[in-house]
Amino acid sequence: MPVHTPLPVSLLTTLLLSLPFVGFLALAMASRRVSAWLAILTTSFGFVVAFVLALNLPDQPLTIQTAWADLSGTLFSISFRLDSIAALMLILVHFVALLVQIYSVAYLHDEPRLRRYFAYLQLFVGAMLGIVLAGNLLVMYAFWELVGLASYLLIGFYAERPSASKAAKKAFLMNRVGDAGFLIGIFLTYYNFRTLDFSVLDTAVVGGALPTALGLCLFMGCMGKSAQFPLLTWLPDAMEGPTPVSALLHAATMVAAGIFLLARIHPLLSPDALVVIALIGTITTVWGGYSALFQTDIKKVLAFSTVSQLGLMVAAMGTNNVSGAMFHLLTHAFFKAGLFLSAGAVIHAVHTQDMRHMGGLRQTLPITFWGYTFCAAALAGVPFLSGFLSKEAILSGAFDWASHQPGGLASLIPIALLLSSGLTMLYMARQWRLIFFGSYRNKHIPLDQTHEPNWLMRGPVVLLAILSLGFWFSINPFSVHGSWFFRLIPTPAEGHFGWLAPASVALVAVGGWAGFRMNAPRTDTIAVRLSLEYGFLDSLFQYLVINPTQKLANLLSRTDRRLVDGTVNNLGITLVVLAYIARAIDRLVIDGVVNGAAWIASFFGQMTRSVQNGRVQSYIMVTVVGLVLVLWWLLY
Amino acid sequence: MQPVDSHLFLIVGAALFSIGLAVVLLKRHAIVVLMGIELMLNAVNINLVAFSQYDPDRLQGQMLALFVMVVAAAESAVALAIVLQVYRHFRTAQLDELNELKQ
Repeated sequence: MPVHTPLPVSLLTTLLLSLPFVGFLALAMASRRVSAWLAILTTSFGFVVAFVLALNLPDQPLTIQTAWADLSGTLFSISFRLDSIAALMLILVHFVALLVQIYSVAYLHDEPRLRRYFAYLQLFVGAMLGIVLAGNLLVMYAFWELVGLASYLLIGFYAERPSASKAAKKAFLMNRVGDAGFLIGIFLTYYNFRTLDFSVLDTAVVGGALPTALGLCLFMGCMGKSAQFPLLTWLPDAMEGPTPVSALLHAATMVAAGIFLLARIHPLLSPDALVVIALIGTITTVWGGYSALFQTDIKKVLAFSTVSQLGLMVAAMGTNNVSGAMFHLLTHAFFKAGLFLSAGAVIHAVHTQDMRHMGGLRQTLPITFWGYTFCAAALAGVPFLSGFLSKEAILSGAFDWASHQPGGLASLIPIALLLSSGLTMLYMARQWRLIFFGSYRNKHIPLDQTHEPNWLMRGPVVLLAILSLGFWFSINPFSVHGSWFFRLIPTPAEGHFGWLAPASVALVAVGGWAGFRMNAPRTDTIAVRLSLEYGFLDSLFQYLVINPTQKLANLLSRTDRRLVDGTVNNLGITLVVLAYIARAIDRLVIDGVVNGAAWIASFFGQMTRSVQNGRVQSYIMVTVVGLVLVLWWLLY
Repeated sequence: MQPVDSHLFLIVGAALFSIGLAVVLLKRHAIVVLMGIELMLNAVNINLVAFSQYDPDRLQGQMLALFVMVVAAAESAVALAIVLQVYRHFRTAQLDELNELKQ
């Protein structure tokens, strides 16, 4: 748009952010019948607004600011920031959320708590928009926690299942670990720079020394939300939520938040912190990829592939390749949402999540099959699809970074990343075969009763599969250079590695062949168990964290019972004894004095009363005695 | 006339007074108590008459004794009347049973 029309951008941004929250409140009051369409209407309106905003994006990042708290001269403000990354994320979040909600209408049509489901989704979307639009770390942290809450509610949506509520708790608690680090990182940022505003921070840090601890603490937040090693075990458990929620969670909202955070705070990361981040990303991507290899649950394979891809994005961030990471986030959002939605369609058809009870479904679910195929191929990095492009961007960035690092060890990172993309093909091909090829193995539902879902569910899958094609992002199918994306989000000059594309294609081919041929392994070998239990991380946590914590808690409870309760009880007993003594003193001394006084009074009363007996003769006697006494006293 | 030794009078008077006092204090019947009072009055009279010998000119003691007798007669009359009324009222003249003064 060459002529800048004076669009009320800030007004639109505020409207955009408040829409889902209004939707959340409205859904809380709406009837069940209209709730789904109300939610979809809200999100599609938001989508349109986000699109308009993106088309009218100002040249400079736009900041909307309003004072929040003035603490002894330090002003903390609520500020929102709209720039190209934010606009991209706005469209992405709205688009995926819209498709997921349309899909949910059909997928959850029997669900009695539909209204609550859509209300939670709106809350989730709103919280994510808040993170995307946040203009300083404090606001981001607030929405960050809101995402945590919404994810807790959605993962534990089937609250009647103990496993679901456990998974929700686990996700929430593991996120808390990361969030604690994030909060400390925010404090460190404020301590170092006296501001939390992104626009100020971007320029403030140039030239100054950066504390590595600051970057690592902030990265802790990403570690929790984006399921990085070692905080990755909540993500597979989060599959307890409804499948469309998994799609939203894994594609556009929750786990993307960590990557987005890294993009925002990237100027604050010191070179050492970046190395650690790259390393953790690499470990995560290999760990996740290997864990996906032998899973039997259709959703768990996808969950670990998400872990793996997130590790790839984090590694890209660590290798100074923000645009590559954001690009992969974008492409990944489409094909991962597509994969989850097709997995949902498969589950809808066969009523199980166990891939050992599927097989041969390509005849009865042709559209789901093709949607799944395109999305999986994109995920695995097959040429002509979007995943290939973004992985190539990340890998070339990583090799470029490694070539500038001292020592040969740095090149292990890009090599590991390259191998992990081969691993991706391996497990995706295995899953593809288990679901759609071979013989049908489900005894409960005959093959001819499995059928495609209706168009509300098929439509989003088809749309997402189409968006997984490479040419939307780059005309050149083997290189991403010159793509519109990198004009939008500029990338530092990267070396181009001509051998990279053929090498990835070769790896993909080998991985695909091996994965397709892979037989069901015995489950008792150590290699398989290592994958199934994702590197025994949960057991490790059990031994390292949970058991000591429980022991400490038991110890504290015993101390409480014995020491504190004992002290209180002894104090109580002492008080009771003292009270008895006081009562005795009261009765004997104080009452004694009073009673004694009364007794003396009554004694004298009796005495004097006995004198006043009304008998004349005793009066005379007294008179006589008195007279005698007076005489005696007078005379002697 | 040989004057009688005055201390004999005094002994008789004291004895009479003591007997009268004992009667007043110990006897239960109102009339008897009144009799005791008469005895005491007469013991006083003996003393008055006995000491009157030291005042031969004016005989004030004897005069006072006569006066006491008159007053005692009047007193007896009044007292007996009261006793009569008391008896009528309470149907008794036993002083032990008359304790209206206690009220």
